[in-house]
Amino acid sequence: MRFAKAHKVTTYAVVLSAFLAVAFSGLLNPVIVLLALTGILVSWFWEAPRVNFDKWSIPWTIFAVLVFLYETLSVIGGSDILLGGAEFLVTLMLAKLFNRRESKDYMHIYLLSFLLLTAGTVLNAEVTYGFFFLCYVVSFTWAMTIFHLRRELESNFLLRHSTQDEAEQVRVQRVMNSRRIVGRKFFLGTSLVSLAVFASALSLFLLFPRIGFGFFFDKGRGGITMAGFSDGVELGGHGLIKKDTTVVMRVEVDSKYAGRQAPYIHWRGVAFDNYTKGQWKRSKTAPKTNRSTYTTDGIAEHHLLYDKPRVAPDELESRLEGALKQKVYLEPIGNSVLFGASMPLSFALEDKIKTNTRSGKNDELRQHHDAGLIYTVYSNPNPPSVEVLRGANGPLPPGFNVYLQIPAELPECASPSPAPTGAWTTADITSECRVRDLARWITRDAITQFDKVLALETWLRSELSYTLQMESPKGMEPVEFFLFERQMGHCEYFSSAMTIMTRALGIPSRNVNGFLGGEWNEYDNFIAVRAGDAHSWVEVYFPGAGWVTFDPTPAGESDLLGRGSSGLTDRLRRIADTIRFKWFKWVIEYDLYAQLSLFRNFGRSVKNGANQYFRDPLKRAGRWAKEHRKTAGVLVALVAGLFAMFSFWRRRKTIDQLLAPRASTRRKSPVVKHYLATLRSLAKRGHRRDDATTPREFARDLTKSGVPGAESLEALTELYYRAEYASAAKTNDERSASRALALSQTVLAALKEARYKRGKPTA
Amino acid sequence: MLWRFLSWPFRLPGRLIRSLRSSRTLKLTREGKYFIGITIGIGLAAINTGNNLLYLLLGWLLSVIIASGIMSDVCLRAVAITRQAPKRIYANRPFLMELEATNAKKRLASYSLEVEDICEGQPVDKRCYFLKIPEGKSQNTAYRHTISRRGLYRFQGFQVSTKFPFGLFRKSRRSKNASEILVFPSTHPVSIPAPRSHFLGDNHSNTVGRRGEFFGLREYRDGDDRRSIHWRSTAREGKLLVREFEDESQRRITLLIDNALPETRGEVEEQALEDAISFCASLAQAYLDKGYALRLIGRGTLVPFSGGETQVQRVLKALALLETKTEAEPFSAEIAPRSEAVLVVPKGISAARRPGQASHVMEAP
Amino acid sequence: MPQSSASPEPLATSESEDALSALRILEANVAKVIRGKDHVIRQCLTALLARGHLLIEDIPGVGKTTLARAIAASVGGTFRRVQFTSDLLPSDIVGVSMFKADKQDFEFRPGPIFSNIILADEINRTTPRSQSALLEAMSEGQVSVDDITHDLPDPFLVIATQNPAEHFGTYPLPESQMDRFLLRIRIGYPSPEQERAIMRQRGASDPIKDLSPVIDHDTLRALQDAVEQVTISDPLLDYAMEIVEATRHSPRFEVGVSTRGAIAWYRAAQARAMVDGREFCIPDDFKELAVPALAHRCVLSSAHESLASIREEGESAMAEIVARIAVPT
Repeated sequence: MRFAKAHKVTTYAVVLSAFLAVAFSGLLNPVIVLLALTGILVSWFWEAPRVNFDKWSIPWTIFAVLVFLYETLSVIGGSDILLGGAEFLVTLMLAKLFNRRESKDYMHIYLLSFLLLTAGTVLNAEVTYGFFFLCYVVSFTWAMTIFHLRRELESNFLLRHSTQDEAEQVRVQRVMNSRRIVGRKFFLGTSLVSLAVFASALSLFLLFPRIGFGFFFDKGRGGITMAGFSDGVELGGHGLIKKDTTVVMRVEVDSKYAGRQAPYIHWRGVAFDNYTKGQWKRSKTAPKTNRSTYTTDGIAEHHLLYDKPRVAPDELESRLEGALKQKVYLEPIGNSVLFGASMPLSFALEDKIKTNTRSGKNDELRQHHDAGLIYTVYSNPNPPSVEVLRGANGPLPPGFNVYLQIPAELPECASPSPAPTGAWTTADITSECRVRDLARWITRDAITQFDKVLALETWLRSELSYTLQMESPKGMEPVEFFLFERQMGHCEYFSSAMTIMTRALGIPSRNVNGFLGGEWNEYDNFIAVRAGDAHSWVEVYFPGAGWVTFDPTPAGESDLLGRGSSGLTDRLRRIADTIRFKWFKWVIEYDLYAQLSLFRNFGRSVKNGANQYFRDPLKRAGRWAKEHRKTAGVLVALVAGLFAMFSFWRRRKTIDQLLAPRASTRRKSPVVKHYLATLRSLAKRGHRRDDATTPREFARDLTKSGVPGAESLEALTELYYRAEYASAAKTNDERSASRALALSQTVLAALKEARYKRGKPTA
Repeated sequence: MLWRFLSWPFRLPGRLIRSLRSSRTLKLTREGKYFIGITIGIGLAAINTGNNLLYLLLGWLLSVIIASGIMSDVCLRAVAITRQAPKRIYANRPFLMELEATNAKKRLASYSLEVEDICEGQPVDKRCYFLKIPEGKSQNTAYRHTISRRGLYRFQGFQVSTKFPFGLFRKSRRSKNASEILVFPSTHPVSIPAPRSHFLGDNHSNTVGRRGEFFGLREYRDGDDRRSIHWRSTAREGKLLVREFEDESQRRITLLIDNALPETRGEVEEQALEDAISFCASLAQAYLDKGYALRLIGRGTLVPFSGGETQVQRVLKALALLETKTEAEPFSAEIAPRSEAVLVVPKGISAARRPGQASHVMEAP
Repeated sequence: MPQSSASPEPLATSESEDALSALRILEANVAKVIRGKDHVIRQCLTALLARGHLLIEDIPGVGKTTLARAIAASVGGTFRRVQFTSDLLPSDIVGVSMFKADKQDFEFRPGPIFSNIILADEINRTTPRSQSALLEAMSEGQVSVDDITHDLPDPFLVIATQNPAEHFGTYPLPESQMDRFLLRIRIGYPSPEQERAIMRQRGASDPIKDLSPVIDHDTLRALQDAVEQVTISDPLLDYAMEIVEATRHSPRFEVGVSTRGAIAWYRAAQARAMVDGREFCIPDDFKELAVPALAHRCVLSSAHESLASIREEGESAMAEIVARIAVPT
């Protein structure tokens, strides 16, 4: 591509990336977006010499000022300041695009695009930002590099050699039109660089510690806080409950419960027994969770015993047959509750020494964690049969009185309203104890306790409505307000109302909080349970049968998060959802918890991977080798032999290269070897040959200085010369080899002799 | 290969030390300062608001800085510069110093290099720019330079810098390449003084040769070149006559330069000596161009008789390196009596121990 | 150098042994007359075998003429001595086209250059024109007079001399012409014992008369051809090239050894090996000939007054390089 054209194309790529990153937030005035896009397109063709820039500079300035005034007014009028700023930035950018004269203007364009991108960080938190950010990174690298080259070109060729103005102008023009400067290799190279930059940016992004100090601003998003999972549930606020899409856990389940058509699962977490003044709490006297724990191989299995104080191990095992197995990946949600499908039978998790599993109350199980938890749950999803429940009878286990507690604000009245025979409405109940009366009226036709509870559940489901809009009860007892005045509410009202009414009939029950349902993700094969799936329901105790789950909240209303069908659009939507969901999780919502969990997971997976791919196979191999010693030995010898041959073969090649100029055959000549050996011995005794002295000169010098054996050295040197320098045909006869050996020995012998004749100079 | 990969951690300290010791400098350009400012701004904003996208931007900005550093480093790597000076450089006359930049890398081109020559420890203020040097290739450029004084100048090396890729940082490196140039004193065309006639006789050569001025006609002798037969005279006289030429190569001249200045000397005196040296060089050039054999004598300097191009070189070199002496120092040789000699003296300076027998004494203008 | 008309053939073994022994005899023959200068005789023979020419820079009276005459006598070739004076004409060297009045035409009379061994004495005394007449003839192996070329004889050896002491009225050979000579040597004074023996012997008859040819021209030509076949191994070549490179980068030399000079040195080393009786070169061949073969081909950086100092500087610079470069092993 031509140099100048390449610069233009990449600059426009930068502009479009930044602009679209902001435009896709959907917050900009669509008219402005459309105008801006058209403007960008037109400005591509708006350049010298077709256009005279000076003529247009004043109109553009006026236009920019007008837009600035407009935005200022609209900000004062109440629109978002950032939005106004972004629109003004777009205007400035357009103005600059239409005034592309010299390098300075391009610099401004890049700066404006960066400011737009920064604005986009607040305006657009969607995946689209990520996509356009990547485009920006790549085009920025291209554009800035070419821009730099262009600027250097102009400054160096035009300014410095200004004496040869015309010639240099022509030259610059030629370079601008040249295709050789930025070719395929250049783009490939810079693309690689920008990808490396992007990867590095991601790594730095993941590594930056998210410790906010909040000097000037409040931290925008905190961790996941959820209502209902702390130490109490409060009824009676106001406002709109927002459905939080943060995933709190992912569960892998049996195929029966997998898939989008699977029935809803109630994920049980915390249970409250005491309701006072509109608040559910765990009372101090609430029964502790009965459990028995078995630890094998570092895995602790906690079996929940519910109302039974003790259960034999084999019965525990038999309980688990046919149970629903779930593998739960719990996110760090800031509390220590363990969730499982109703009713959970056992939890299996790693037995850690530091943090121990606490038995909560009301059949809760808790384990503290900072960075998420993975555990396995076995649950019994099927309630006991209707006959068993109808036939339930017997005394309550010790401490179960708390499950009959009704607050003082709803006392029993002296004169309850008698239940009518025909149709009735809640307006017909006028006694002091409206709530209790209502319970009695609803269950007038039920005989067994089970039927009564069922009637309550049915009535609540059909007669009242579900809404997320909260309204303050204005001093009235919240359940009463809900049942009689407002007659609509969210799930907590429904479950509280049913628990109270059940208790009013003398049947022990408790309010349970957890999650309902979740979304089946067929791409990752799990149920994604989100914070917005939080739900409240009721557990009722039938002596001899145990706790049974009842959900009075009208069905269908909990589907706000969508379960989805299998159509193509829905499928694409789910894929987009997964991407979007991952974007939110790993980029927008990335915080200290996520960082720590990432690091821990990374470390764990590395260790697991290492174990899986290295340690375990090695162990297995070692064991096998121990068993089959002979074959193992043969194999090892074979491998070693092959390896040695291979490395030798490879090394030989380089040795050959080293030897080639020296003609390897000569190296092997015995004469040469003898000569060199003699030289070495002489060197040891202090007669070293200088680098620039020839062997013959060396020998003659020794003779002159009367070193013993020097004459033999001279003869040896001549033999060496013949061996070393004559053509190959005339060397290597045995006679010279043996003669050389003899001479060498003579020299060495003479030297040795001289050592023992001290102080006596030999002639 | 495997060894190289495995031993990398062990070689790292060596490489670090070498990179610390090597004089590489990194400077911020104006745009670079703005960039750092923006990065700090974004960083503070990110920490304060906790907006993760700002962290993403921050990560990108930092990566750009790192990439810029690495790429400019790669650009400067394995680039060798050599210089080629013209054969003769005169003082105060601009000359072209050629530079050749070779990119020894096998796969990567080098972009946007600025090269500055370093003379006597100071950078010559002429930047040569190479837009792109493809891998394995060389590129030539030249810069025009003028040195105002004669003498020996040492070039130590080059300052190679680049602002590639983004123009945010300027990375420079010193590349060693030592060479010396000798700047001759400036010369200008002069006319040589007329030879003293009464010296002509003894110096006049009796030998005859081919070139030289026309001497006369004489009879043909065995062995004469047939081409020198003057046919017209031959036809007229009836016997073979040949033209004879005087051999010019016997003409000899001694140039003397008095490079003595008094103990107390100021700029005026020094400039006078420089002018004298320049004048002497011009005279030498003129004589040698005319084919004389020339000898240069000064106080502490002697260039023996010789002629031709090489002698011009030797004389200019001697004059370029000529040191200022005092009158106490004698001239390095005696003038033979009745030999043609020119003594050049600086204007307005009188000194003792000047050879008195010089046939011409010229004061430098 | 004059090309031999016969194509180079490797000497057969027995022939080669005969030839080598003939060399020994030749050497011994010359040594009868030149006492105590075996070194110099070897160098002369090297030049002869390499088809090169010799330049002797020495004071007069040390036996240059005797040496040249002895070689000529031993080889059985013609010998001419040319005393170069300032008025010597080129025709005095190469020959003359004489006008014969009776034939009305020019007839060529060959000059002294048409001999096997020529002693060009005091070559620095004559004009550059005459010098070039000799030097061009040496390099081309033929002489052109009046558009007719005449070949010079084979074998052909020029021994030129320069007197380093005198420099008045001299034309020292310019450096560009110096490399026409294969070797530049010195003879120098004999040792005191030798000098005494010479003085005793002189006064008797001319010793050259007693010398008879000991080698014929064909054998000599065969030896000269065989020189080209002498083996030189690659490490030796690298050693030689290293020295040549060093001269080109040495600060004492303005211009180092040219490729032509390197080739000449190579050839000289081969010839030296043959003179020594070997068919392969050794490092000593190159090292010993480095100064004689190369020093005069290099242009010095410094200016000098006299020939002697030029020679000394050149030889010392060359010797320093040779003493520095490592010999191959």
